[in-house]
Amino acid sequence: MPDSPEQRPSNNTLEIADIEKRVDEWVSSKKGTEQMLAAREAARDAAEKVLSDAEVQPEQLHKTVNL
Amino acid sequence: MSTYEVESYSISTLGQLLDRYSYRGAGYSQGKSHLSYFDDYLTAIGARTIVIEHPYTDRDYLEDYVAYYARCHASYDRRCARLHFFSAQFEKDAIERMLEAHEATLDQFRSSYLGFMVVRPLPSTVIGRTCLVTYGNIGRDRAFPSAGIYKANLLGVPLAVCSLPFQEQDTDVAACATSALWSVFNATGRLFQHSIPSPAEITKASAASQRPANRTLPAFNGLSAAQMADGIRSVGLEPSYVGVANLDLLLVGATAYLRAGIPALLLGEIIEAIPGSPQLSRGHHAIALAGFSLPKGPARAFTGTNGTLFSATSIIRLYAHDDQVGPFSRIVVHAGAAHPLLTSWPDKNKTRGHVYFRPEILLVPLYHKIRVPVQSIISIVVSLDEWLEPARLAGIIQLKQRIEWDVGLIEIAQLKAFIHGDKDIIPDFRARALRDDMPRYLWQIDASCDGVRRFSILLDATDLLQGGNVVGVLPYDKNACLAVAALARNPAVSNYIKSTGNRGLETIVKWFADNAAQL
Repeated sequence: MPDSPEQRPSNNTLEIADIEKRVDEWVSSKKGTEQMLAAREAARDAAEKVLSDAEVQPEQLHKTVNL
Repeated sequence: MSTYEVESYSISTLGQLLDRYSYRGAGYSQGKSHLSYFDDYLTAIGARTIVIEHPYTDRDYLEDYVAYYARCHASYDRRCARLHFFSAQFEKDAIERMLEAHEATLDQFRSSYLGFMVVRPLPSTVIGRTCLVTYGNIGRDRAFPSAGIYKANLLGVPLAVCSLPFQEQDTDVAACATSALWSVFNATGRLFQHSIPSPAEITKASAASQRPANRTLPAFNGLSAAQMADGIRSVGLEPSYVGVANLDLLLVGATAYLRAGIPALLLGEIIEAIPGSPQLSRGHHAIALAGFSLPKGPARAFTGTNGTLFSATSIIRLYAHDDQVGPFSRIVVHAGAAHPLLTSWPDKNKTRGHVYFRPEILLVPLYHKIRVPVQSIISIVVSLDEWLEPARLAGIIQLKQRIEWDVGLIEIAQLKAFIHGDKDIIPDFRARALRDDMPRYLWQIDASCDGVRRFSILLDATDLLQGGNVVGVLPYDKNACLAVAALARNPAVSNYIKSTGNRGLETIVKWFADNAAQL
């Protein structure tokens, strides 16, 4: 995907300590905890769906392709 | 002595030539849908002149001749004709000037060369090995990563074309599955250095351990996916299946392999749905996916209304070698439609626009060391995205839009060349990546937002399935990477992520946590 120089994000604007503080506040809040729990379920479900959708059933392998 | 003739290109001339060099001159070309497809294609690439070379010995046809046609009572010829196509207009005297090595004429031949088509001396299935230039990119961005350089020599003049070979199926020695395998092997042979078997050899190798219901040759019974997989094993590659009834999985999976130049076989059902007529299944078919339109516009949510955004879901066309249609035939993608893949097949009324492909299996021929399949990578990405999106919505990751992901297999030399040329990677990490000892094949996962790349994750494609081994990350956006690192370093978040049970996800976030100080 082509990136133009003017679109480049500016670096050096945030310190990790500031972000870590925000993460702490978020995760320790009731809403943050709920979001983490929901994210865990969503992450598991999404990954499982991909793997189950990608499965090929044995009977599909023996269907003849003949056009 | 071979003869060389020159004709102006037209559909009727092409039809006459196909007939003339078929068995006893009765090629039935006018009744075949291929002729109109080739006319559309050759017109689109600007064909104006045909040079006819006859006789011409074609290796693939000769192998099939020895294996099958030679034992027929009828005296099928063992030699073919070859039609060379040019975008320049010239007359027969150009051949004389070419013999005299007239420099301007040689330049004209070389610069206007569009490729060739072998005409087999058979009664009906006359279109043999065909290498034509791909569609141009004017006005549309298309990618044909599986194409390579194919050389032809005309009167001592070397000519070259960037293409992927195509041939029409011969129902005697090859069914559609064989033709698709043959096209795919032409690309994988170049990539992984294996010999390229002829269609008859492919049919026999595919049916060697799992016998078809009827006889092997004539090959009118076709092949199953399991037999095609045996055909892939016969050239020393490993077949990898992906179920692709899910359109998004097809688009993301096929393009991920195509980016490394590996064309995949797409197997599915051909459906004819003419408005006002009952829907009809025409049977099962196999095609070789050879290219795609570059993703443009907004990505769709993967497999749902609130899912991960993959760039590949905005692809609007796939290009396939479909032996019932022609080379690089268009498959138009209409996501959300009842039949999302519109083929270039004509319907029973000889009209295009009503025949669809219902995808079932993507069969990918892989070098044995490419062990981690694309579905494992996609499952890691969707899982990661489900963690990052709430953090973005909570303002931790300060991006205005949801992250858009792009997945592709890449060979180390290609990757290092890309890194070398990309000065937007945070400098220390760029230098480190160039020095890093990396595996031969990697999965590259690009994370972008607002059309700007924020980071690229590199996973070892040759690793153990249980490994989830991150080779590294190429950081572009320091703030976004620091935010992921801060998330990963938080003990509570880290425990939540670990409890997801996704090893790939864990190792990715660990990389951010471990490298936060250097960002």
